[in-house]
Amino acid sequence: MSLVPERDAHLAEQFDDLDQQHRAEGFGMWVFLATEVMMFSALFLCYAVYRHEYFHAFLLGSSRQDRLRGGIDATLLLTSSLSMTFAIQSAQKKRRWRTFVFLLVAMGLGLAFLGIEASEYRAFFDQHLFPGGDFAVPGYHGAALQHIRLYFILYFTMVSLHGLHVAIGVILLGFLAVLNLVQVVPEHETPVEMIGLYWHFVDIVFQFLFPMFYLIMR
Amino acid sequence: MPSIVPAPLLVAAYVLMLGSLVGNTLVSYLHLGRWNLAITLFLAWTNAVLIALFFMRVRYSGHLVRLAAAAALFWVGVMWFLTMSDYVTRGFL
Repeated sequence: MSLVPERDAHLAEQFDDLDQQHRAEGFGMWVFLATEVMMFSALFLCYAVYRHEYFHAFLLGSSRQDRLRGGIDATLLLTSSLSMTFAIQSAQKKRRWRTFVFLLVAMGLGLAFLGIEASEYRAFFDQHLFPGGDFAVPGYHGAALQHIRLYFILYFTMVSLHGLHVAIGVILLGFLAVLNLVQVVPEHETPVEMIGLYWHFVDIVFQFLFPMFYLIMR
Repeated sequence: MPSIVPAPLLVAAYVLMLGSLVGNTLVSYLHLGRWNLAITLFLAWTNAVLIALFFMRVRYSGHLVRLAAAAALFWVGVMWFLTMSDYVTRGFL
């Protein structure tokens, strides 16, 4: 008989028990999310400074946004977040198929979000509102045109960076769904929880992007 | 094992957030001057806090998680306060 107590197969060498490991994993993920919050906050700060300086240009830029599509985007991400929460809880209860379905729903809604954003970008390209060489707003020239261009530079930078995060999240969700299918994940629900935290963060960012870019007072 | 948040509570938070989104959109059609931005930010922050508390389960988490979340907000606050107090008081960019 061994005098060394048996350790759980999922317990890493440096931790005393699963609870300590789980708390360390959660803390590590939150520290990463804190760095992401700071990155997006710096961009929002840039937005705030220029909106304060060139409010009318930002008002005009926002008037060119399609609120319906923006609102649908926000709703899709919110619903996706809810689905992810249910996926985490299903994984905790070791319900393999439920976890798989909720992960697929979250992933599908994320893909739909990206599709709608792509259609918005296409509309802006067609209207010459992408801040490239042919950027043009009828009736505006010189400095006034550059201020409107600044709005769209910030829009494309921040929404694209967020979209990249959504795309990475979608890939991670797909990866999780496959792992769940081969029964690796239900034995250890932490990956679902950690990627869920990332997905919720991505949703939080868009809750600020939507009003800041789409809902400047009409 | 992390606590399970009751499904009705999650759905209630979700419905509240949807209402906040709709409210935010409707407010943008009203001409309330400076109050437009204040209400918009309030509703956006409401959604962010609800997602953090119930979806990310900060409400049910230990001190380490709350410390990490609070630290992020604190340092962001420092950046915003110092930067905006500079730009809004000097009259040029």
